[in-house]
Amino acid sequence: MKAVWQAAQFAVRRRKLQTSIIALVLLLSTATVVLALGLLVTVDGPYDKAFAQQHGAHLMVSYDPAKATAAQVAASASRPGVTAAGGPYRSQIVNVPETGGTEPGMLPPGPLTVTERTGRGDDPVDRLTLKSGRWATAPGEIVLGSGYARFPFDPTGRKVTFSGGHTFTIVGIGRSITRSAEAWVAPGQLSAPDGLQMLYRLADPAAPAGTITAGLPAASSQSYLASRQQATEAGKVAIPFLVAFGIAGLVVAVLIIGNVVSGAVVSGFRHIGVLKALGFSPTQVTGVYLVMVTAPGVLGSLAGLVIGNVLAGVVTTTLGDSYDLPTASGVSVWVDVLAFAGVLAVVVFTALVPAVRAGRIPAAVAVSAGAAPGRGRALRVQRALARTRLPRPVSLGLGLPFARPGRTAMTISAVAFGVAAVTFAAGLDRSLNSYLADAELTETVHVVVPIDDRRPISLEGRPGTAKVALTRFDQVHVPGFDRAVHMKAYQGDIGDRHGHRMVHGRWLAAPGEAVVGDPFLKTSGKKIGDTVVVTKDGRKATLRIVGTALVDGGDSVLTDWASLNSLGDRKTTPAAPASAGPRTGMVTSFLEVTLTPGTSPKDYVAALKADGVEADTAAEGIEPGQVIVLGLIALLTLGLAAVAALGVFNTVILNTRDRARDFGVLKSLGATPRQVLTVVLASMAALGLAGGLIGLPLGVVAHHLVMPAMADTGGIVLPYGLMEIFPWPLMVLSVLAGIAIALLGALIPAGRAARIRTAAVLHSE
Amino acid sequence: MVQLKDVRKEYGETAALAGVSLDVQAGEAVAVMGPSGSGKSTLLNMIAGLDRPTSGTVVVRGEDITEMGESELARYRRRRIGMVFQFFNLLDDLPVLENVMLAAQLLGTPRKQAQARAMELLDELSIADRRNAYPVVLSGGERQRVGVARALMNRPALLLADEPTGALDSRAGEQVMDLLLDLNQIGQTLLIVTHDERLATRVADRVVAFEDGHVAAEVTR
Repeated sequence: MKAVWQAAQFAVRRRKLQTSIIALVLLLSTATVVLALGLLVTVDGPYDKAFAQQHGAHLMVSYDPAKATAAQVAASASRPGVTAAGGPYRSQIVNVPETGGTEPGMLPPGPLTVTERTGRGDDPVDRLTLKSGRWATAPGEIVLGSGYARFPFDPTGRKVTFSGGHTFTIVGIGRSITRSAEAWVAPGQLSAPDGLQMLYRLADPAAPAGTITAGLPAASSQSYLASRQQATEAGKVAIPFLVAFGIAGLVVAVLIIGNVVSGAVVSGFRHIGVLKALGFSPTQVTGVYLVMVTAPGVLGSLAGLVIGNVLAGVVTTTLGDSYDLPTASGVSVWVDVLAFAGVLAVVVFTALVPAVRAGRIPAAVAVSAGAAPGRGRALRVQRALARTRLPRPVSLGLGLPFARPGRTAMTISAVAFGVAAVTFAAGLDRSLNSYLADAELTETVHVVVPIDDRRPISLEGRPGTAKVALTRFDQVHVPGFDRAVHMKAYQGDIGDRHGHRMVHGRWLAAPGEAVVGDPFLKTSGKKIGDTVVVTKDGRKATLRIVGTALVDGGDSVLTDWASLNSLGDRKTTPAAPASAGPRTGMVTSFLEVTLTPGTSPKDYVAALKADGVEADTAAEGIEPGQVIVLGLIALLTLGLAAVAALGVFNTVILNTRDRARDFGVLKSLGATPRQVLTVVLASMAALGLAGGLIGLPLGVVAHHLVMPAMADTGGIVLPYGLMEIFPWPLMVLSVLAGIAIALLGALIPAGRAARIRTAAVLHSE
Repeated sequence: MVQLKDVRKEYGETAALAGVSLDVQAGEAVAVMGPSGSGKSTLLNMIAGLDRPTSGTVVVRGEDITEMGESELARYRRRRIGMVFQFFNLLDDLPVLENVMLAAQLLGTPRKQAQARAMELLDELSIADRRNAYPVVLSGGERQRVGVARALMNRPALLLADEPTGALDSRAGEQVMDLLLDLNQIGQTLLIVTHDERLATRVADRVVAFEDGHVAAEVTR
């Protein structure tokens, strides 16, 4: 064993470069696997853990207090299937006015659910936790939910006034794992409670609400699965592509390790012969080659574990901060163990075949050959290339890959995976941007002009104006949602889609209809054709869902002008101007302006401002989760492309070592360093082209599989057009990326080949 | 044709060439002999521009090649030098004809022209019938004739041969000796590094004996 170890050490020292490549490839692969697995576990793990610790409610039901007493509702706690219950807690849907009540930007305007409840550590269900401050115990005090509003400052001590004039002082920030309310006040503080909230833990968490609420006036109910989905979906969106990248990283690692080890066997024939002449058994020779690969593999994987953990920690913490996950932690130990053991198993398995081959080579053959046989292959290709009009160094280079078809196949595969990663990432980026453009109408709405009812603004006929649409927004409450739902309507022709891309069903055709985002259907449990009741300040509107579209925020509702205005006391058209100018932040009516082609939104806005009209260019808002996903895509694409380039680098090292004598001959015949460089680069460009042509469809297929999976995880259904985002220039670029990866990987060893010491390599013969 | 002035080549503390001065006239055939490690091959590498001297100058046809950059040296090798090796150094992936044409093609000679010249040489060396064979199936003597043909492809002023008979049996060695003699008789300047006294005696006008990196003796026939 000691002899094997020493011989392996010697082999590693002789192959410092290839040893480094193995270590680097495994570092990147392990890091990717840890990141993917880590995120997979982390986004679900903490929520479930916290849910169990805090006795989260499997079912949350709001009963109508006008139709049932607290005692009747409380009796539901003893119904079959209920293992524990909390409540009844009096609740009220209150409204944050658009202006006046709170400091600007402090709370989003719209409805929120407030419950009369003080957090106690021994609550049987839905134990509330404090993030800061204290619970509300006195009149006029309120605790806000951490998932409801984010504060860049400590809001404790500040006041919030709801519609109706009730003012509360914020005394703390709390958190409910069940997201049972957005705010809590002390018992007896709600002026007009409209609900009696019961929280249940069930023997069967998936049991339908009807089995518990039968015979009681349940106004709304929500399973914990909805809040679980909301808490974890942002992280989950990233998982399909992380898994895809993790698998691709491992496959590329296998290819490169196979290439490195078989290359070491091929170029180390004499070394094998010497070992056998010294008395090494076939098993010991196999052991030498296994140790030679495994030792740097272990080091690379360990480093990859560290980097993967750091990356996973950063990502989960960022996701946690962005989406209010209960706890966001790093990677659990079993993920590390699994990733490390799995990657190493792959390494050993990959190295085993060429290592066994090395062990079986007869000593005499190995010693006498000096280098592995293998020349003379693909001679017909060389001859055919020689007859072309290509410059001789180019035709010589193009013929080189055919001499070692196995190595060539592995290199092409590595490049193909690199190109697939680049294509996949480019497609993903384009799909996400296209989705954002469709959802946020960035190609239809170039400028937004906030207006208030006292000052109508006419932009028709203004230079650069192609179309102006008057829109109005409102925040409404929809049963099943723990947050306000965004509602929007356009004035004028009801059939005008205003750039919205339909996914299913149809656009609005008559008053009382609604088009929603797919996530809305998922959360509300509705389907196209169903009706939904939206409420605002006690007013109700019943809308029939006629279709789904890509909408900003996913769970928004688009309806007609009259239906939206029926929820408020607004007039249906802006009123005559008053003396005061527009006040941004106080209005929910906007003019959405489409500009004529070539008109600069910035210039248009500047011209409006010069005329005293407040306006803004339509902003392309990217959410934190999307930023993380896009960042990860860029990071992993670069990583995989780098690994692919390392594969090429390794191949060129092996090729130039095998071909050192040929390059020496060429130089002795008068080949310039540039001509030798051309020979090497031409051979790799050919592989790059082949890898590009194979990688392109792989990337497109991966995009078509992963993108819908990501969208599905986020509750979004993608329209067909969003998948068809590979125009031919992008495809050409993807194939060129293969050549770029190959040339990048080949450049350094090709330069070394060009500078080869001719006298030395020819003499060594 | 070739002037070496006080050429030294040191590898660490070992001097492969310890101040060698040597002139080779146009049309002359010079054999360099000496024991292994005496510096013969190093001398050949210096003249071929494959290695650079630590000091001294190497002038070939009026050009000081020690002052040349890598690309200039490559051009010099293409136009002025032909090299014949002990182990032939043919490219195994290319058939005989392509091996011979390669030297001209690297110079940019059009394929047809290169092919005509290569066939002419293969004819002269009586190996044209093997033009489509790969080196691996040729005998040692045939391989060396291909090597000579390749070396003559660009009509070099100087033919350098490093142990041209060293890997051949006696019959094949005789054939190569005849070939070199014929070439010299039609005016080809030769510089041959060899252990083979028969080759030196038969082909060379002058024999230069090397020992420990310097010229120990010179014998002109």
